[in-house]
Amino acid sequence: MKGSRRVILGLAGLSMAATLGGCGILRGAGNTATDLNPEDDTYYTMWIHSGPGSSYYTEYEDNPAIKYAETMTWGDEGKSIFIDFVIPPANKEPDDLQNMYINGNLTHILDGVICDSADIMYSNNRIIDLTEYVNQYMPNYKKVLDTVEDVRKSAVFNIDGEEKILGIVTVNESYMDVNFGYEYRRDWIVKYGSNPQTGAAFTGGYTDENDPDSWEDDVVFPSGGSDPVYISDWEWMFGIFETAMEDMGIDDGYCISMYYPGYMWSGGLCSSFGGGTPMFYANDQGQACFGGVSDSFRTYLECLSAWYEKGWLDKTFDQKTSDAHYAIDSAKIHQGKIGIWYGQQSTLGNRIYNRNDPSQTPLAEGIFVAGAPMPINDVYGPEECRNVIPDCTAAGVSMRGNPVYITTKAVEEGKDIGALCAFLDYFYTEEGAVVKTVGLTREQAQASGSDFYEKNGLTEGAYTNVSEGDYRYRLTDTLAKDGGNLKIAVCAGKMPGIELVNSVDRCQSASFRASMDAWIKYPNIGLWNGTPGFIIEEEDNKAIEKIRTKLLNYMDAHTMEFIKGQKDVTDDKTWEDWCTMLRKQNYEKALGLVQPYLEKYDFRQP
Amino acid sequence: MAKKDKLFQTPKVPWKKDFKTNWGVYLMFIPIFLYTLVLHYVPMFGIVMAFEDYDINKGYFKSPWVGMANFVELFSGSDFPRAIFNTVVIALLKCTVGFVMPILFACLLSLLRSKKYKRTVQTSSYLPNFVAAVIVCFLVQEFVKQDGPITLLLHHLFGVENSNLLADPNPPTFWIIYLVMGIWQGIGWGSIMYVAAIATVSGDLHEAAAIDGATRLQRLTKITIPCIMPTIVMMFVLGIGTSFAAGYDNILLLYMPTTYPVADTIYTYTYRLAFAAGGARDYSLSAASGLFQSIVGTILLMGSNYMSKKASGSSLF
Repeated sequence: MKGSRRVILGLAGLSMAATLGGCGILRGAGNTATDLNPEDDTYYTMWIHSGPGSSYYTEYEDNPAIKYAETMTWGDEGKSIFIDFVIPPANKEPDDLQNMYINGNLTHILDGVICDSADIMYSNNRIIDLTEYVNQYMPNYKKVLDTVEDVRKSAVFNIDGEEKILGIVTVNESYMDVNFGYEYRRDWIVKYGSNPQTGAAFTGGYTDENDPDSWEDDVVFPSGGSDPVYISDWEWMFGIFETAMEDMGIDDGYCISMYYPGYMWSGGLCSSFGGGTPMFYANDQGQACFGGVSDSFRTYLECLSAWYEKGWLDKTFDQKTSDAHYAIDSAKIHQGKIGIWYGQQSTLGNRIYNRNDPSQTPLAEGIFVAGAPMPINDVYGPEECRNVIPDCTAAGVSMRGNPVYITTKAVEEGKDIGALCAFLDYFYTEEGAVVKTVGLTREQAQASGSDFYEKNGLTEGAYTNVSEGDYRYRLTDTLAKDGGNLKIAVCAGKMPGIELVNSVDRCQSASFRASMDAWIKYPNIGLWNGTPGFIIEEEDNKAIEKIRTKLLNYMDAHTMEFIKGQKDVTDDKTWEDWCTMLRKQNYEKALGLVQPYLEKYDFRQP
Repeated sequence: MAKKDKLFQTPKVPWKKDFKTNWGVYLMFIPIFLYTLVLHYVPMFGIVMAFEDYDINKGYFKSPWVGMANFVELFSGSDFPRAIFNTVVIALLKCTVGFVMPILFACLLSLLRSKKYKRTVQTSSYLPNFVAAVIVCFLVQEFVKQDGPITLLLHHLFGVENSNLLADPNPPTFWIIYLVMGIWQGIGWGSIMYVAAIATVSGDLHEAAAIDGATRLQRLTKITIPCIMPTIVMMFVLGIGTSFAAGYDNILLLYMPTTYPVADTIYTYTYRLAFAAGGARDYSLSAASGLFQSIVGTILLMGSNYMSKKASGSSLF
């Protein structure tokens, strides 16, 4: 009996410890900041939209850059700060946020990536007015607000005739690199193609077998440059890809893959045929437009239908419904059976070739994958759809990043908002921006009390100071060569601040850098979705989204009929029927709702 | 006769007296009562969402009332007629072929002589029911893709086109795949009720029939099936009631835009409209669709019960 009582007491003790541990009450002591407990006025909770984005730790509190920032003291009284990060379950982010709103259980700081507009949240008493705090504790952020109009528009709101700073908004130094874009097998061009002007065979290859990007060649495209520019360049490539596949005995490969509905609502390749997207976008006059009924989309479909008929387009593209748009038919990409696809940085160069076991990727031997800019149509459709620069691409439109808000909960619980603002302002200083974007020096890493740098071979820190052209910082070798997500793990990307872009030498090889530059060759200037700071009021957004969903529902089900030739896109009657069906979904109403926002945010206004 | 009936009638006891005597039974009923009340009746209030432009921030009481607008939106969708047609076809297949299979399986099990073998078969037949729908659908996709074993078998045996069968937009390929998948997954679990009913059939009847020279098949058709007919009717009536609303989640995992013409049901159609990835969550439309399906289900349930009562004298209520 006594024994069982002990067991029960032991179990009860264990469950109590687990509960307390889960609540963070028994958090291991490290430095001064982590000695704080939730009741302290500088212990904050922060809701972030997504997890660390790194396999090195699961709790963002373990981020070495955050730990370093927490070792310092802030505010009038020189207080330590500790932030407990709250991460919603994947794909449940909006639900998690809604639950917080409904339960009144807001965190003290909110990552504003999917929040309502700041003025609405302020009127709903969810976030606080930061004007006084910014003036008193955030001189560096204030400087940004005063100098970067884009950021000011996202942070400052006119409330009852008075200007109030409601958000703390990240500012990018320049357009950020994007992670996805079109990429193609350039090694096939070298091996099976010939100079369109002289007819001479191309030459090229790797200069260093161990470097996936050390490729050099003398490829010239029909348009005269060393990169594909026009649709005619692409079609020239398709011919070469066909030869390559025939020679290599690839009978289940194809020249180009396509997202399963036959289009991407955010634009992509469709934008190459006269601009815009198949959905909503702003044209060069700053007018909200619906692209599903446009000549651009019709021309795009005409082109895809021709490619499908010629066997260039994947015949089963419409069956790959579970593939993400940036990883379509991933298995065949890695087998080296596709000519051109929309992919990620991780498949550039010869990264898909399995060096350890070449038998796994026999068709990828000698592969070199290069990034391609969005093409410009010069073959299909009416004149106005030709030679138009794509305007709805993946590259960002703005220099501003996502905002962060401080909630009323922080005030209700007596938190030291001044100290918090001073802490956040640090990331708008030169040193803080480096900590946020690049990582820590060796000395800072040691001071952080984290053994992260030591454990991951970063004994020299994350960067060194340089002075070469625009560059002020250069990643250390270990970090530069890392193909995983160590670069994300070392910096405090979730905090607001200045995001360094041009001033950091990431030690990328020339060919890799060329691919990155190709992907951002045509910045996205027409698509407002995803543009930080472009926030549509809840009611309007709901109505627009409802219409968009209905449009997508119809277009997803029927676009492929044009591509697969079941309907003739060149037939005026058929096209008119298509337009009529889309008109029935009332897209005009959505356009009317969006237009005032385009004007409010000065989005592509003439 | 009337006297005899009275003799067997339960004497009327006042409620309070009965409670004093059988309070334990009443106590045991409380959790069931609470469960039904809390999880089945209270949530019915949510039906109100079908008539509102429901906003999660405003709640039931502050969301604007829109009357029948959600129903109009649902019924006026360009692909709604197609969704209704497919729902009816699939429901019919489930209520006929899908309904008969577990009965057949239970009957065949009852004919087995080796009890060990019977138990093994019966237990193994339950297993697919415990496999997650995602995995079952993944297996189906693998089996019927272009180079899947079933596709290749059908291609070589019957000259069926060597392509992904799940992408065939022509009837009845998708319907057959969905039906067979449902039967494979549910035949064992669905037969439990019939196996139990067959077990209650008196052995004397079988013994007497066997002595009279009845074959096993004759005993099955003349004794077993008539004896379990009330159970069959009950399950049929319940099955019809839910056929319009339940079990369509697997379609979400199997269908694709190419097969919308044959696979899109009210359930999937509503799901796309109300919860499309990246789109606004339209709880009101979803509630309207749910209410519509429940009403149709209730009408079917009552109709089938009535018809069963008229035709066979056996009914659920």
